[in-house]
Amino acid sequence: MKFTRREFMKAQAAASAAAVAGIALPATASNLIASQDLTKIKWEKAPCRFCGTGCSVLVGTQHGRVVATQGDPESPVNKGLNCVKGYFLSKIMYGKDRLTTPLLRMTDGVYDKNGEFEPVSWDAAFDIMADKFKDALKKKGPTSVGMFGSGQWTLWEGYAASKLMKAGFRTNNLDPNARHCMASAVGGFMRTFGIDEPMGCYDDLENADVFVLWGSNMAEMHPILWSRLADRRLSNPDVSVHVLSTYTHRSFELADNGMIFTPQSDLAILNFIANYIIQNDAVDKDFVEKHTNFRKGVTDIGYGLRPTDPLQKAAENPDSGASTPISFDEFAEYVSEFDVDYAVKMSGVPAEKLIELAKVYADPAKRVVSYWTMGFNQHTRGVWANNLMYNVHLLTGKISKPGSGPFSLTGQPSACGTAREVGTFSHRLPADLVVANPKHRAIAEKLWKLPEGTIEPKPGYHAVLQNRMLKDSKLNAYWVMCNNNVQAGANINEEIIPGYRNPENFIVVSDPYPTVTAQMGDLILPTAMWVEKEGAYGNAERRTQFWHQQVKAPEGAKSDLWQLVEFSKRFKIEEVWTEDLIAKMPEVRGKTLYDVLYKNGQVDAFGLEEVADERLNDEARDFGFYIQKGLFEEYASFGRGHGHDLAPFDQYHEARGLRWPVVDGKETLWRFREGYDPYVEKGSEVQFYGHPDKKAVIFALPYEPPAESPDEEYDLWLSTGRVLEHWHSGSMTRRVPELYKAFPDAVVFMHPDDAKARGVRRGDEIVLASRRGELTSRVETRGRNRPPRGLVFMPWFDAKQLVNKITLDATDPLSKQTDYKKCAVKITKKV
Amino acid sequence: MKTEELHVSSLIVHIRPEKRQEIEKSINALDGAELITVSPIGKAVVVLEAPHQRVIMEVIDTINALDGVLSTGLVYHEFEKLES
Amino acid sequence: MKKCLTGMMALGLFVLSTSVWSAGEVMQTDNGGVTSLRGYQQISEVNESEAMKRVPRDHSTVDRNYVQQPPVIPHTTRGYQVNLNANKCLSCHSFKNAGAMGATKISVTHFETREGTTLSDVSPRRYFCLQCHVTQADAKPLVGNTFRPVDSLQ
Repeated sequence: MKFTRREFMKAQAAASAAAVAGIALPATASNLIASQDLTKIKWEKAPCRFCGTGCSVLVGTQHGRVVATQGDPESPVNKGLNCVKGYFLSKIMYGKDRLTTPLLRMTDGVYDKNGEFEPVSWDAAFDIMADKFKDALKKKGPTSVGMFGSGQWTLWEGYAASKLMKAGFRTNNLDPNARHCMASAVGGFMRTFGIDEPMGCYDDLENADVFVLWGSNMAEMHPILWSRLADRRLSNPDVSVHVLSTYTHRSFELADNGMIFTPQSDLAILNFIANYIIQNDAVDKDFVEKHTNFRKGVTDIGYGLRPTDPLQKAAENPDSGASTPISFDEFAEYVSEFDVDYAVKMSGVPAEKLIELAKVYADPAKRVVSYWTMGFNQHTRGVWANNLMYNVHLLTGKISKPGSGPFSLTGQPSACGTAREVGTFSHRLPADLVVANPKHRAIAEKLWKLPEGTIEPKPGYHAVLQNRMLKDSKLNAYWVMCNNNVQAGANINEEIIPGYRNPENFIVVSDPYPTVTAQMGDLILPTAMWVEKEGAYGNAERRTQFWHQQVKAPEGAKSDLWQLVEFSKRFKIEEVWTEDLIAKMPEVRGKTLYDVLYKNGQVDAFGLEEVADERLNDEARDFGFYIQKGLFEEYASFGRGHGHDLAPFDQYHEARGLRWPVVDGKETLWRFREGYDPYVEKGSEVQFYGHPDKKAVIFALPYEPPAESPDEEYDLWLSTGRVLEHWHSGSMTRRVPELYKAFPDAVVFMHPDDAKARGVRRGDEIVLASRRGELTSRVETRGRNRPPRGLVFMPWFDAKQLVNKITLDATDPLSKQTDYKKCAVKITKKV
Repeated sequence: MKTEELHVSSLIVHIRPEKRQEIEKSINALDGAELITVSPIGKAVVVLEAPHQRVIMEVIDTINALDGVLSTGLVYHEFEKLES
Repeated sequence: MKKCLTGMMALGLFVLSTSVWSAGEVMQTDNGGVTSLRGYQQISEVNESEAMKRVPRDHSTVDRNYVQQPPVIPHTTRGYQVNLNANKCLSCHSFKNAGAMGATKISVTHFETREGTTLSDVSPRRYFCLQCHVTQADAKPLVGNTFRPVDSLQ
């Protein structure tokens, strides 16, 4: 029966509303519904696969495939809206080159590092992989194996990986790609507040009088938050928007006060504002007295480069985060030299604009939210920048209340959930625990039912160090999962290619698609993605969101969770643990890592009867228990009662996400403030309970120059970043034709006068070179980004161009996060 | 050749369950409006069709004004140009 | 462990049967004989630039893949201003102007506020059109996409 277009539209309309209202349409309702059977689309919620905003979408499936996606009207985050990437989610799984079989580099039917990829079975893939991991463990011990994971992993994938690495293989060489994204934010939170993640939430967007964007192009990178911000600004003429960046971008379209500053001078501007607040008697003295301490940090801390690098050798206190207590007066004296003249000289921003900005922070009547993303975090002084931002909010008491607060936005959908809360960093354990702390290790060992001493105290190799250690042959068996680090990591030529192709190393890459990282690996594992599995993400406002598996993965592709847990069956305890450790818990003898880590009476505590018959859940049915629930509940036991409370598992499948801590079924909107946060004691008003004295720290920290600045030969700054239409390395969005056509290839955005001076025009082919390599690209002088003279911007999504061939692997010495926003390059016309 | 438009929308209408019968009758009496179903707690799904979006907006206003209607939420709107 | 899956070849994956390097060469391939969005070029090599793609001045409207998809923009938007002072898109697509301009009318869904009230004009939260509606350059997709719309839209 072919029914009319009109009937179809009506059926769609009814089904959409019913899905949103959460009610079933009765079969008897009308002809309209009868005809709907043919076009019946099943709608279910899932968080978006892309950025840290954490929009909820409704996914429409039919005949086992995703056929549509739409913004979820019930979600408090996005209220029915998506950005263009979100609207095209339905196509990301259907790129024609989806991987459906493991591929191994072989010559004449056997593994050969120099061979070419050929299909093998999952069995054969895990055989060679287990051999290589066992070989490395035997020869060089746990520090020779490692894993690079993701802020795009689901909570339970990250948690299962953490157990496998930190407890199973007893290596802390596990780090997520979130290291590139918000490690400096973590460092800032831990240093200032002693506890990770923002105190505020997105409700600030409807409550603030002033928005300040510091190194955040929210219009392109967090479009739905931008739409909420635009809503507030355009509906309220008294609200103002201040935007700071090193080049003009789309967020300036709404700016009342737009400021272009010289790279790195944000440190000087932040100190100027603190000084302005003090000079103009705008300090909230009562708040500062009750809730803060002052400390002075050590300086000249280096650039996170290899110890042999001249810059690193020259540093007086490399990698030091040490500090000493000071008084308010000493702090005031310290920042007094950061006057407006100094800030103007350093930043190039006109004095009146800087003063206008300082005034909104100083005005006690104005509620101010500061947002930042990669501009602060991808910064060789990223932790400092975060600390200095908190100084401004703490001095004025504009924190932890509706419409006022500093707000670090995350880039990835579960950077907060999986990377930070689960603790998949090389120094971390769940719920802000760290491996270096013996009490913390003991907590984890107890909850994991493992012998004391299982977890190694020394932090493992972080992201950048992993690449260096691969090159230096210290890290030999390496698993890259749910990321594309050959494209995303800095200094590809010198610090990535050599390690991946090092004959001593075996590199496994799990991905749904053939990426450049997969190409550089030795074994590729085809991976299920997004709604092909049950999942959970945690967004930037502490909101944990779940989704059900909604379609089957292509035959042969397996989820990251399945891969991690199935692989653990390949290891007998005796092959990975020392006799000393086994002796402390002899009953583990003869068992596999799977038995000890996952069939431990906790992870396998929930049976298949809890998975409804009509529900897809491939992992649960493969392992024979509701593994996602078991992993989640074990993980949640770390944080309950300790300021990181999560609700019971089942509740998240119903709710449109909940913001932790969730205590007595109630989520927390503003942390650290009485009346909102159940952890704050009655009568205390505010408690920054991350520190034992329940106070936050205001840090005296100076300006220090970037690792590399333009000179005579390399005479331009290069900043890299994203664009609205593509997610990260583009491995999903560039396979959606509409998104590809919306922004096809990366271009180099530059000032028309800079182009002219080099004899090039829009569209010309150029060579973009740094001390580390070169690439060719095209000039764009009229696009959405308008750099000032002396700076160029290039997005990194383009696998052909690979801008990270020329970026510098300098990091913040404290957070180990790479500065992708500043290095020196030159441009010549290609002849 | 003249182009006509067909607009189709759906709404979730929150109603007082005890007023269900009157409301259902009133909505179905409106031109191009059809109440598809009502849940026990008073969430109703209503589909509207009209030749013009202005009509859709007018119908929404009318539904909003009905006694016992607490709120309306537009979920879906789609239109096509029809050649006639 | 799942039983060995036999006879599998990745859908559309280009696994070449012969190496691009002759046996005598010590140089290894860093693409492993597999194609990615980089193409088949070695990762260590310097790329060739693609020609800059152009957005056609005007083309006919493009069908949607599903009814909830925001329509793509069938014309160039170069030089369009959307900022605090002006919104060039609405000068043609607004409810008021669309008829006279022969442009697609903005959908009434765009009149709804975050709280669910329907306004008489575009809700400010929908102000930045290019967040959802994008132009389409004249470019051939890098790889095919096997997405299939629902039967009734095919």
